[in-house]
Amino acid sequence: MFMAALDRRVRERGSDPAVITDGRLVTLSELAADFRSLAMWLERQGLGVGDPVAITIKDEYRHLLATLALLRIGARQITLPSYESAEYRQAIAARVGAAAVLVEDERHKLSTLPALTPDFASFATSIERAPADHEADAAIYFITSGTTGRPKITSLTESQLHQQARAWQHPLRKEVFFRPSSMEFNNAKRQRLYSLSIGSVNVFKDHGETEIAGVCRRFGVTRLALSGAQAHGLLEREADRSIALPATTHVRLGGGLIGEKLRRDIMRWISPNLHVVYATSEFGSISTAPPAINAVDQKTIGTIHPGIALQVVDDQDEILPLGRSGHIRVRGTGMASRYVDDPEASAKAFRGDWFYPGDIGHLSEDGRLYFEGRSDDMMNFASINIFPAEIESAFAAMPGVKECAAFSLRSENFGELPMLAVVGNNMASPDELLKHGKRLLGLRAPRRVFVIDEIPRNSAGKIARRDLSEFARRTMEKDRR
Amino acid sequence: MTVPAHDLQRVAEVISKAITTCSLQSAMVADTSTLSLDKLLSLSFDELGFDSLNFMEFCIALHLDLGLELSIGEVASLRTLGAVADRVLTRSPAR
Repeated sequence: MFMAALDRRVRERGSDPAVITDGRLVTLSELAADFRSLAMWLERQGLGVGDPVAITIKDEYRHLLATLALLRIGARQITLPSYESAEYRQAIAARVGAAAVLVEDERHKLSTLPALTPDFASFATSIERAPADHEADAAIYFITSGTTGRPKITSLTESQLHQQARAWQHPLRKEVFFRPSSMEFNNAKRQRLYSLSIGSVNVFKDHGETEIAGVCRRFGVTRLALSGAQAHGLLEREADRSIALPATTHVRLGGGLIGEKLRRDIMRWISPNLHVVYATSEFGSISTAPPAINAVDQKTIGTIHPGIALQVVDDQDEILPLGRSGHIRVRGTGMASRYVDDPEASAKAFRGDWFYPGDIGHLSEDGRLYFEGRSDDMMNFASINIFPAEIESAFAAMPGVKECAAFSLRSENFGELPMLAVVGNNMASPDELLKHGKRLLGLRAPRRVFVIDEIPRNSAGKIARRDLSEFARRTMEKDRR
Repeated sequence: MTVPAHDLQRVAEVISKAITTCSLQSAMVADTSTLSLDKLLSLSFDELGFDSLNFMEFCIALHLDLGLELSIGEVASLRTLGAVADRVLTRSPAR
């Protein structure tokens, strides 16, 4: 469905702009020529319907071409970000049974997988062919953090991707879309595909470009998608210069943890056109607080999108009255149905026809949704969800480590910084533990390791992570003196 | 620079360590530990091959080592390590 809709638009509106990359405008026809050529090349390499293929490509446009080419031939795909360690990429590739990895840089090859290095510069011509019929198959895998200590892998079909795209932008409208994050990030990749699917133009940041506002002005961006950290950064720079975004640029900010002050600052300094969106990888967009709501209520994450059922329930799955806090659950057409290779996590999150994102919140009488926190200990670091178990399992088996506990330290700019407390004898030094974490966990690695005598626990035996955060804050403060 | 040399030395050490900490596979980050103070502080982020992830790790390292939170945008606009040192020293609480 996703590719069929794209093919139809290429036929009907091929001269429409699709992508702006390195200042160059690429039309839908040119984009199609490029990815179809790459698709043919991939088929000549022996890849086809159902083959799981990994992508490690930093360049935005090339990553998009690889994504579309793999969708075109019906292969399954997963992004293995270049910033992750080889061990991590190998482990994820093994879990989806990847047959090959597409790379543009020799350094990103994996010893366990055949690498394919397309000559992107040669893809300029194409032959029209009907796409294969493979819409019911898994198309794209997305990696998220896992409660069980392993990353969760969500699987979306083309059809689910297409449906998520239609719910993503509400109301549906063509935009000049700019997301200043690498396509190697789960959210950024999905949003690029969503925007392409609904006929918007994707703007890619030039190499070395750091001026978000400059890009918006230069290319007439109408929809700017930011993380909380990016919003903070933009605020500091733009507020200094008293320069706002163009009046036609709307800002989309994701996540339930967007505070009231940040919203007010964005509306005051950057743009009054602020849309706060609640979304998940498994489901897509769930609710939006548009500018009119943000102007009067900076706490809500908005009203539920049409076609989506959302309920707030208690621990026994009984529906709670309006105003009462409980577990949020959602149901809709574009949602995933399970996690790959993880029955435990699947059983917890997908029950009946519902998806349970693990969030706590309530609905007001006028239909607004309010996010109140997580039902678990998940951290949100730079828009990446991290469960403590994922960090702890990477260290638990190390020689000398008796016990460990992951926790977070609040950061104004990046949310919650992952940290680790370790108890043990004759174990590696904190520096060596940090390196080990970086190698295995990449961006999710703890940024500091604290060796302590005992992991603090509450009366129920649960790790007292807040106590650890406070301990870490005080220890670092003391070290700085 | 108009700051006491010993403060600058300390901040430079933290910055040098932060550069090492934030190096990622994709970055062309040089070994800064052997550089003189002047040479280190004259380095620009372009020369270091910083991308957005390097900037993020650099900001986090400064936060944890100095207790000072700078945003990516703020650090990127400073262009050189010397300018970052200046900013750190002017924003750090008096010691």
